Amino acid sequence: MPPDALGRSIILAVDDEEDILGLVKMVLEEAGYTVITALSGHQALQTLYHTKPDLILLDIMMPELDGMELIKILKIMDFSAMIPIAMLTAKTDFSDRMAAIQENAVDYICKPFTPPELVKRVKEILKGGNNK
Amino acid sequence: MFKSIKIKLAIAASLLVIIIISVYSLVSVMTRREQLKKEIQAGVVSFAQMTVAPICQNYYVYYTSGYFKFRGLLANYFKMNDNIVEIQIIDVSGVVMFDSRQMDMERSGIIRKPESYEPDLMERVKRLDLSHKIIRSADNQEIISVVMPYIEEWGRHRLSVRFVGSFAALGYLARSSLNQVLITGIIFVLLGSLLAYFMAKSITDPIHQLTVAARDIGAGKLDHEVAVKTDDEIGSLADNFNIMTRQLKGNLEALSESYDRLSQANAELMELDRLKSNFIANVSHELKTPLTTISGYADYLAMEKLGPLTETQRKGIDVMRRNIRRLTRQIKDLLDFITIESGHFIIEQKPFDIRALFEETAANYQAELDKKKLELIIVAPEAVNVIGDRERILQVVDNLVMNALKFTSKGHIKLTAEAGPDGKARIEVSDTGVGIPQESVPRIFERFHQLDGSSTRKYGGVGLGLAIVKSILDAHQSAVEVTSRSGKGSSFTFKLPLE
Repeated sequence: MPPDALGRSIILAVDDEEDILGLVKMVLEEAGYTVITALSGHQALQTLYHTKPDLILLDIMMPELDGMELIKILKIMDFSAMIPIAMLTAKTDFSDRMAAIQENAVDYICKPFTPPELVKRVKEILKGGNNK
Repeated sequence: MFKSIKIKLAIAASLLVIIIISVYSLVSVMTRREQLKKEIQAGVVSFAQMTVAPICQNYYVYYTSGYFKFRGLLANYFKMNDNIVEIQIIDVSGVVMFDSRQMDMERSGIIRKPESYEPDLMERVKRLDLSHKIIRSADNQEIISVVMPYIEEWGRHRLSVRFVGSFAALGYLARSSLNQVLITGIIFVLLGSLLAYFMAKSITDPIHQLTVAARDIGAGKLDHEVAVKTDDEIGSLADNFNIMTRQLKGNLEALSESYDRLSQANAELMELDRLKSNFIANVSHELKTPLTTISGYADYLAMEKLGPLTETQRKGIDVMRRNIRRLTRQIKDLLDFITIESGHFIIEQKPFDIRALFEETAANYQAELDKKKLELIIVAPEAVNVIGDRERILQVVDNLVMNALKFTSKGHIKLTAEAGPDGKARIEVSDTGVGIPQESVPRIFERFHQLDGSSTRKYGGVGLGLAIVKSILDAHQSAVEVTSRSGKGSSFTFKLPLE
């Protein structure tokens, strides 16, 4: 995946909570990634039209277009099908996990997460992606 | 064919008719025969009495001088009684003077000895015996012989006459009776069979109707009424059958009504259940999302990534972080509990290493253990692979350790895992804490239960940990065993299948 101008991986975080996006952005930029954010599924689709991130962090519970619907769309569009997607959600049910895995999500991060945990999981996913 | 009651009944009735007719015919023929035999005997005897005198007179008058005349007269006598077959004229000196069997011959026929007819014939002649005798003839036929003396004027007895009667007429009678019996028998059997057939039909037709009705009702056609209107047992069966059908119909209608009501209630419950799980997801989201932000920023503040902190600021932030952890834990327990209670709870059965799980738990609680100066001992072989839902079992062990930590102020907490002979691993979490009074043991797994009102304040928590433990282990078909002594510590044991 092409890194940005400074050679850093780009991560797109999608969540309807501005505060969560702020935290994710702060934590991951601190860890050396470039983070772009989207406040809704539709905004995420608009962003993806002109930007190709290395990873998408996707919330499930969002108004209008929720995470599970969005991942289905992203996985069939050719501009986003190859981008790894990790769910970042408060839904901890086993059935939700299974649904996400069926949609080819690479990881399932449960809220509440701690900053070090988030950085660790993102690092692991990107390492795996680069190895491909 | 013979499986039908109709046919069976008809055959049985016909047989009965045949037997009755046969016996009746036999008896009537026998009686008739006896009667006829007596009549023949009486006829022969009276014939002898009537004809002995004229025969003997004719003999004296015509035998020597006009034999043809004598023969003609005798032939006339034979015509008077069909049953008479022989007539012999016997002289008391012991000579048979005439035998009707030689009638066609000339007069100079053979003179016979009376003994050649019957051994005691001469005795009978001399005794003036009027009785008759039934004997067997030379060709073994039953015959009747009557010896009749001819008494002349002044009581002179020179001649006796032997009359022989035959029972051949009985044979004709038997043959004609047999024909008669045969014809009546056949007529009666035919009539009887026909009668039996209709009788059987009148019994089996209602049964057939009932059979058809039972089949229809079995197939769900409950409007089928049996139209049997007789007063006998079958009629009452049909009446009760119709009553049963009506009751069945009523019951079925009631059943279908309550089914409708139940399915409606069920639909409502399903809707309620869906709303409930939506509600759980929403609550979960609404609680966890702000918590994530709060805890994330608190961590960042503590790490001084947002600027340096003064000593008092650091203290304040540490208090905040400690309470955020506590709140996180309680929310997690609460949501887990609601999830488990709501039934949206799926267990994943996969092998995992229980020792690694112990170590993970120990690492999570290291800070708190150190702070309370407690030791956590792991007693387990290198790898004990059990089958279960790792996330959920981690939660069980975590809850038990947290529980132990809460109630233990000195000593140690011990995590034990060992393979048992029953193909299961025994997993134990024990401590050297305050223990549980014996009488409280059965109640500790009830939700919201803590040993006493004050313990809630002293030890914290909302009393869901052990209820969650129990629910998770229930889902694994495993049970928790508790042994405890007040003041000496507690031990929680459960079993999981080995890989």
